[in-house]
Amino acid sequence: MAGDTVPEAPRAPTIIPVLVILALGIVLPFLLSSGFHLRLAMLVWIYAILCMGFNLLYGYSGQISLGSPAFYAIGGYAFAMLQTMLGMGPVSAFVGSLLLVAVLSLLIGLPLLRLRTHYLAMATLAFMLVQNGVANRWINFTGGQSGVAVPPLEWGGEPIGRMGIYFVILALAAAVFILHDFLIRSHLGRAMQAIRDDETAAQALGVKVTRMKLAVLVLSAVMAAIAGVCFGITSLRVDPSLSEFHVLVSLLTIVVVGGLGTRFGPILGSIIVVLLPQLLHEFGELETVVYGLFILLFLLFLPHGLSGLLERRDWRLRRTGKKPAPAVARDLKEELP
Amino acid sequence: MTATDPLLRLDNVTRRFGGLVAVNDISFQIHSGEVKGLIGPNGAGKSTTFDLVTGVRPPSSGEVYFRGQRVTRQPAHTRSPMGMARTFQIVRLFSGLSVLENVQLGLHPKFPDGIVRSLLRLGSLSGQERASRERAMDLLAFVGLADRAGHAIDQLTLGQLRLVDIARALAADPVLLMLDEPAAGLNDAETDNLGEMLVRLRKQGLSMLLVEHDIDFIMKACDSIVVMDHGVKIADGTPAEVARNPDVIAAYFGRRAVHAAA
Amino acid sequence: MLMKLSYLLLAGLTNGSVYGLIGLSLSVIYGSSRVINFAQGEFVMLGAMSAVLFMVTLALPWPLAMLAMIAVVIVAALALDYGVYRPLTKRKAAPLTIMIGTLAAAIVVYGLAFLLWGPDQKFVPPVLSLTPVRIGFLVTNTQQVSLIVIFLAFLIATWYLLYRTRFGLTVRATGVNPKVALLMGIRSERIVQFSFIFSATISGVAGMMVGPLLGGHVGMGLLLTVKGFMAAILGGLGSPFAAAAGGIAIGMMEALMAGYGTSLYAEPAIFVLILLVLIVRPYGLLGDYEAERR
Repeated sequence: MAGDTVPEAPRAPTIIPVLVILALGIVLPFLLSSGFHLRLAMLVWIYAILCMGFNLLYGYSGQISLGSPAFYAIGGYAFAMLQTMLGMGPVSAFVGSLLLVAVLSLLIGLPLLRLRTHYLAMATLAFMLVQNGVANRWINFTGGQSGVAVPPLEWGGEPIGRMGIYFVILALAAAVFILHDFLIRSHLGRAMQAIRDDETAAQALGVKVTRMKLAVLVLSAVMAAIAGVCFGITSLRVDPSLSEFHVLVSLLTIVVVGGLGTRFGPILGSIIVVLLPQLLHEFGELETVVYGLFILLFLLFLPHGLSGLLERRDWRLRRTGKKPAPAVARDLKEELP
Repeated sequence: MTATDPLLRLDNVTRRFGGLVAVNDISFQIHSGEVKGLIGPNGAGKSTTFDLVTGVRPPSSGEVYFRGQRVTRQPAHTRSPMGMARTFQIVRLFSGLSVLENVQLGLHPKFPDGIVRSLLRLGSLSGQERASRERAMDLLAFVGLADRAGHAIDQLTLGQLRLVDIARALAADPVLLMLDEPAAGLNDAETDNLGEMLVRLRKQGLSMLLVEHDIDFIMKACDSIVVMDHGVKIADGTPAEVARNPDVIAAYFGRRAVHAAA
Repeated sequence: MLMKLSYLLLAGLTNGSVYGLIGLSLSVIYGSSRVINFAQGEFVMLGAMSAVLFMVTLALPWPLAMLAMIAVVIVAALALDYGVYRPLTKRKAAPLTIMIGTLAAAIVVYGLAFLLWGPDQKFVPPVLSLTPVRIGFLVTNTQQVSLIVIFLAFLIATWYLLYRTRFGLTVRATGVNPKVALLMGIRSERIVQFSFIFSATISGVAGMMVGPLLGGHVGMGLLLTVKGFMAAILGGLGSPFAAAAGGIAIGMMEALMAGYGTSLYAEPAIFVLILLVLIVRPYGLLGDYEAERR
């Protein structure tokens, strides 16, 4: 048996937890009593999609791009405007908006990915501010503050109900989630982590660093655009608030709370970030303070986020111990089911 | 490539940094199965030469041929698939990955390239991943670290880290292994262990280029030695020839090393 | 024609001084700790709002109010040091993680300020006078002029401190390599603490001085942080003076664009310019030499 000589590889755990989460997602709407709760559930998936892209780019590949909210907004706007201005159907508008964002992110990524750490962060933040500025100001084209209406999704001439919309979003989230999971469990995830830890060494081992970074940037932008489209079909309107600073703060909170560079971090974080404000209403005026403290406490005491609690790999477990104790750890593992 | 062609050939390679000539008109060859040493005092240009061969930076002039192909201006990531692997002087393992995964990364060029291509070959990927894990385990066993496979990088000693680095380089099945000061910072026992391992690799017919400070180590390990000083090649020959070379003695060895070699 | 230009230049110089002071503050902290402090603009906000508290609510004379304000921002800086920077560095957090930590701190500061001062724009009393003063054909006021003077004064003070004192040498050494600095007997924690306090004071004073011109409200910090960043990135994070110059450049561009183009697009246009600069010069106009070597 291979298991005797090869330790259970952290990179090839089963896909079952992903399917379990998606199954819960299918059951969920039938357990929710109100439309408001269903809307919260949709928001969780939308943020999860957005953050999975960010997780691949920053958490796994180490490239901090603060431009995600811009691609999120552009995806939503393009989906709306391709329908209202060019008369496209929703499916072709969806494909068109993803293509547009892919091309745009490629054009931006080519020059910008040469930048490192803070410079990359600031340049991509500048991109977000430009996008937001244009969305706010070019009123004739973008509708300014009030944004653009998104035509409701229809099926056989009838608008699709809330429940239907939820399942459309769940299907898109499932696709993104499975792709996200495939990438981080495969050799590509390993290569991304290698780029994050040491570009030169990764290059020497035959990893095409530049191409890989660009591919992940485009992929994360496309995921953000998918999230933007989902936002559009739930809210029936996209406006400049999609790329405002608070979206970026939510994004960062989600990855910190969920766990940066972890499999389930984006989903766990999204659940918390969507539900937290509902709970924080209790604090009244203290809400903002508590929110900030909450992020700080996570950074300090749960640096790997909620995922860090759930998916400690065996080697990470050993890292927390002062002395390596391989024999004991192996014995322990064999006893576990 | 014919049988007589060298594995690696440097033709009049020069590298300037601004006004400084770090490597000046260097030529040498490594033949198949040969273990070559590259030595010289601090600032002789060894590391820069190493970078030029591995593609970290291109030379200002001159050419580098590997397996008969000109690779002078090919970027670093093209070396590994061609059969050239390297280790790093300051160990550069990936701290976010386990020991085993670090070695598996050495097998990266064997996997399908890019996201789309990987998705197209989804069926064969899990088998390939399992095979790569087994291969990586074999390599860890070869360097004597099989029991550390699941560990985090920061739990290993420097000597062990170097061995992981070598195992990672070997994963790509190189024909030429480039070692950048592999014995630096190791204690005597670790250095001996490393030396024995290089002997085993040499017996398997692996060619190597060894940049090293430790003279005794390099005298024992190498078939031939290139000596550099101030960016210029001052000697190229067997350890015994090099040790007798008056220029080398003047530039580098001093009396003690001559006795040691004799 | 010439008058309009000189007006615009004066306005640009005034706003640019504020951006420059924030850029300078950010660069001082970055220089010693490799951390970008997302809460820097909150110090400016605290400066402006403390002026309201001490000069209006408590009716203190301005020198006392300024001392009290400096005490407030120093307390905030120490809280940032002990509550965010030290615990995170102790846990070996990456610089970008610490940056997220300072962002969380900024949210906390904003939340607390909101409790104290509410959401409304407040009139910030001038330390000096807002009465118009004529210099040639330029109409200005002492508050505006003093802001530019303070900018220059802090610039000189920073230069003197960093390049003309032994202490400055240790500050610079810590930024280059904290471990080596530690071996040399320099306690980098002290240096970082000093840089937090120093930069908080600069930003607080800038806030107190610019408050009467911009108006003060608790949400003003964020945009100032962003502008300060852009200033530091445009000039080059590695040098406080490059960062300060970046601030002046941004202030000038903003004023000129508002004056001759459309004020509507002044802000996005500046961010586009910064993007272009970074594409051509990845480490800023004047360069972060330390980063370039890596």
